[in-house]
Amino acid sequence: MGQLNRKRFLQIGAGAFVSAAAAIWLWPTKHIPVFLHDSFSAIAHLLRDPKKLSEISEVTKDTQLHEIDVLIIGGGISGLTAARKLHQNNIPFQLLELGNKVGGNAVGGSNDISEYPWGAHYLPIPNLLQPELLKFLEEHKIIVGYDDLGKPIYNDYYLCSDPEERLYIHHYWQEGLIPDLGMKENDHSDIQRFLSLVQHYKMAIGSDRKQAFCIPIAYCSKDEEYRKLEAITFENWLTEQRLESTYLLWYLNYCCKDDYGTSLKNTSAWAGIHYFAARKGVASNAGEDDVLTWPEGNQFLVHALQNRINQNIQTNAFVSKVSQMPDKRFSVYYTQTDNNTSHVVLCKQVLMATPQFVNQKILSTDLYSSKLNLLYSPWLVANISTMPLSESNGVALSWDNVIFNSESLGYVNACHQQLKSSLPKLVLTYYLPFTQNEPKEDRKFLFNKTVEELKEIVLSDLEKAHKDIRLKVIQIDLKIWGHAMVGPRPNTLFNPNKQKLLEAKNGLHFAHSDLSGISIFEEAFYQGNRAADEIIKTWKA
Amino acid sequence: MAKKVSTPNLLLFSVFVVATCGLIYELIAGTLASYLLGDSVTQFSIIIGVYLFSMGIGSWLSKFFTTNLLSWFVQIEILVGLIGGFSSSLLFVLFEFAASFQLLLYGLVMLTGILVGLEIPLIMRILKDEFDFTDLVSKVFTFDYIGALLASLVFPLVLVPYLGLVKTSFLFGILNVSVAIALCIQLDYLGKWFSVLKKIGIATLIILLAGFVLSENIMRFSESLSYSEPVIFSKSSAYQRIVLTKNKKELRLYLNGNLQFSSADEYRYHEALVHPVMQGLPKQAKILVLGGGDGLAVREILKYPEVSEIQLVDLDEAVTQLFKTNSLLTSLNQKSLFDPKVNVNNVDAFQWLKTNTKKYDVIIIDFPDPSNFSVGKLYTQTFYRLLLHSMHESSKVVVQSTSPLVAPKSFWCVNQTMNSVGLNTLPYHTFVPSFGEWGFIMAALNPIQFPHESISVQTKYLTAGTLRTMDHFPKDMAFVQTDVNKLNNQMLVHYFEKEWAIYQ
Ligand SMILES: Cc1cc2nc3c(=O)[nH]c(=O)nc-3n(C[C@H](O)[C@H](O)[C@H](O)COP(=O)(O)OP(=O)(O)OC[C@H]3O[C@@H](n4cnc5c(N)ncnc54)[C@H](O)[C@@H]3O)c2cc1C
Repeated sequence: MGQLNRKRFLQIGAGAFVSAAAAIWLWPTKHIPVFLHDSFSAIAHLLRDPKKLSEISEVTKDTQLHEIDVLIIGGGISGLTAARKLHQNNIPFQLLELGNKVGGNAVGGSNDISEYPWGAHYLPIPNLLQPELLKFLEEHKIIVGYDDLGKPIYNDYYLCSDPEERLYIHHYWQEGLIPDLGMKENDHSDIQRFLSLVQHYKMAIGSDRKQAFCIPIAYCSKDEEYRKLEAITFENWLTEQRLESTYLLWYLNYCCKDDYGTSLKNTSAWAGIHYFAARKGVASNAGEDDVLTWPEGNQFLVHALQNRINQNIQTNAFVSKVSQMPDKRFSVYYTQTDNNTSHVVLCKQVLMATPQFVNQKILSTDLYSSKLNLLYSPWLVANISTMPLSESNGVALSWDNVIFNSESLGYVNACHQQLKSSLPKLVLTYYLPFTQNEPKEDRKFLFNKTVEELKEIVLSDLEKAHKDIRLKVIQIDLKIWGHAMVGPRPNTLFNPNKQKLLEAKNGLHFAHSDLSGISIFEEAFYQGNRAADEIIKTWKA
Repeated sequence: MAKKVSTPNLLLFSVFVVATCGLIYELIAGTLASYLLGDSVTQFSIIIGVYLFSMGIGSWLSKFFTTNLLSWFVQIEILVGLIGGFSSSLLFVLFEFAASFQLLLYGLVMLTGILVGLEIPLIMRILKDEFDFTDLVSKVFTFDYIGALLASLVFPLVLVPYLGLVKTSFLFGILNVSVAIALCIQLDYLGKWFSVLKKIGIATLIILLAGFVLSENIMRFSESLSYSEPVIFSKSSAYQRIVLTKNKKELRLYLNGNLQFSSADEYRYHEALVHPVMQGLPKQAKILVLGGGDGLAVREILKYPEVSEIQLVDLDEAVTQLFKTNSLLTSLNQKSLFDPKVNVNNVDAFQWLKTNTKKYDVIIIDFPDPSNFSVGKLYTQTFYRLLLHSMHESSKVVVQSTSPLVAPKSFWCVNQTMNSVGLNTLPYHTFVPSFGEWGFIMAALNPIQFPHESISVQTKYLTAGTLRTMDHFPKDMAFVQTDVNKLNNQMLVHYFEKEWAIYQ
């Protein structure tokens, strides 16, 4: 053996080691399948092309004619809520929805691991100002009774299980989302000061004896003392208050993105404070900040709303034009996208439960001249099917999992409410609102990305907290919401033009949550009921 | 030529390596078989038998190799390295899937046996011109037996404790292949074929090296080092890591690293869990057991002739399967899971209760401790409320509820939670040496009495005297006020984490 060429042997050995190392390094780059789910991009395109839009709204000999008393356009929460109420009042109606199922921003999906949300995924414990909402929750056993004090008892299967929230900060998962770890004295004191300021607003009553902040917004005080906060940005308000802690600012920016899809810069101070001061949930068996959630998110509530009115719902119906005829009736043009037939509905009353950026395009100019200047930011949502990810120190996998200093909102564990004691696979729903630039630019940026690039955005973000994510993920399903949420920018919430729009005229009604200016279930529910009440009044007259 | 002189020595050295590696593969197979299948005496003798017999087949087959002996030798050497190197990880992984694991095991042993068996005659024929016959035989067999001795010493003393089975087999695969590569380099001058073989050898080496480095990730077998007793079985099911350890005096089961029982004193635990609640059974009693896939509680239940039906619900099929097949374990639970009265369902208890419509006379709940949020759900108000649907007016329940001494808040929290759904509770405790002071909570819709007199069946531990002390709580375990454990607060997990933290 002494004669063996040692040098060569060593060379080969070293070579082998290097290649083995390379093989190990390359190992994790297994291909993760990714799918982009349709978000009506073709139709969005149509909306931007007025000529095409009017072309498809032309009556031909093949156009089918229908008549109905009331027509609801849009099957999101607001449209469905209105439909529920009309049904309860025995008013004949039809609902047209663009998607292949109803739900709008509250739709969910499913795969063989779990159901999961695509958009809205929770309902905070409501306050007692919304009896209609409580009644609805009772109808569907979400509220199971009331205690001696009259506080609702919520179905414990639907109350978000513990552990609810955690924040990945300084390589550690801390409990709760308000940063705590690694902060200096002034950070703590700024956070304390902020919380006591908003606590003050929470209790505040305006000169008109209404609560300064509550849900729905329509019930809030008109006292100028509070309304004036609508004219400045949240960022400026914070500067005025000398709240400067970077931890606090990160947290507040996160909150604005989470609820409104806007940054501190683009949120009005009124809306920013509203996030903290308006929630006054009351429950016998939960805290005021607790939430109700389901694996499929608010799709659960969509099912509850649609439950008795399925026969009145028409899906795959794209409304391209709404105009009024000399006899004051409305003609609504729509294309049935699954069989490409065109239709006209003649009706006495129309309810637009569609967002204003759509209304602006499909309502004839005599019906819709309002300039509301609403802006909607785009969101990327990813449903990540995965084996359980490796966890660093700290709190265990929670319902809401946020990464400090990330652009995203982190992810929600869609399987959190499952009662199984061990899950070999999970679906995590990842939310990324785009707030850096003007929505239009962000939309362009987002729609120009390839699916692989989008996947990379998601993975490289989550990799910060879960090093092994590329090894564990089974599949990623993506959806782009081009116009996810209306932004409560300064001077938009109480815009007088909006009031004008809301005043019902000749059977045309509006109900989308963007009229409240804050995209949440309760506002959509409120708007739907308000509009339905108008319709019922006209109907009875 | 200088090179030529050293070739025979290198070949003799490779005899040594082949012999060592061959025996190591055989030992690995034997150890693995007794880990996975139990009964080490049978396993080892079958493996040794099969291995030696296969070597015989190999020797016989060698006569069909007539030309290119050197190249065949090198090829076989690479093949042995590859198969042997992967043997243990292959067996570990396939154990979970293979329908007939034995067939696979013996197939692999035979294959290695045949290949190793081929090598000795081949090498003797290659070297027959280099040495005189007597010398050759003496040399080859000396190296062969030295290799065998070395292997059998190193294996139990160094390799298993320090490297574990998976790494060991990769290491010897690497050794095997390295010798083959060295031979190729040495024999390069014999033609192009050897440089091709060299490349194949290097590729194999890389694969084996990768396996060696990654073995920890793949198998996490190194965990066997974290148990103080020798691990005789370990497996990752879809839900948990199951590890069985054994030393001279006891057998222990760990789930995800938490001790479930020790054979030395499990009867104390299971008698205390089962018998108090089983007194005063109606005729044709129906019993529900949640958790307890080990069949040990069932063993105690089967002592009662009144019992007509036992429904066992345990999440993990791997556990119930293990307790049906491993001979050490079936002798512990007296094959209770095979009893015709017993019906086993491998589903989640929460899910099972949601769909169940039957009422049971006695419900015995033996879940793991609430050390994480997913298990914590099985101790919530929601869970006990659901449990009421499977009870009639005079049904009785018992819940294992951690140590009232170490974790009083946790213990009394279970009590409080059961009270909150309208159950009358009767907490009690006993001493189990491997756990410490352990607590249970008996409950029913009507007020209940603890059976102080005696137990109606044969016991190993419980006496009337012991029973009289069990429902008395001395000062250091006395009642403490706690919150109710709910899905949306998981108080129990929080208490449990805090109270047990000092013991981790
Ligand atoms: C990613 C994301 C996460 C969210 N998370 C939450 C949450 O957790 N909790 C919460 O309370 N809120 C959340 N929201 C806000 C959510 O938007 C509201 O809760 C609510 O679902 C809005 O209902 P809506 O009826 O007002 O609007 P939409 O849901 O927008 O409904 C409008 C409907 O009109 C249809 N439509 C549009 N154009 C046409 C046309 N031309 N013809 C026919 N139909 C048309 C649309 O398809 C849609 O179904 C989230 C929103 C998004 C995007």
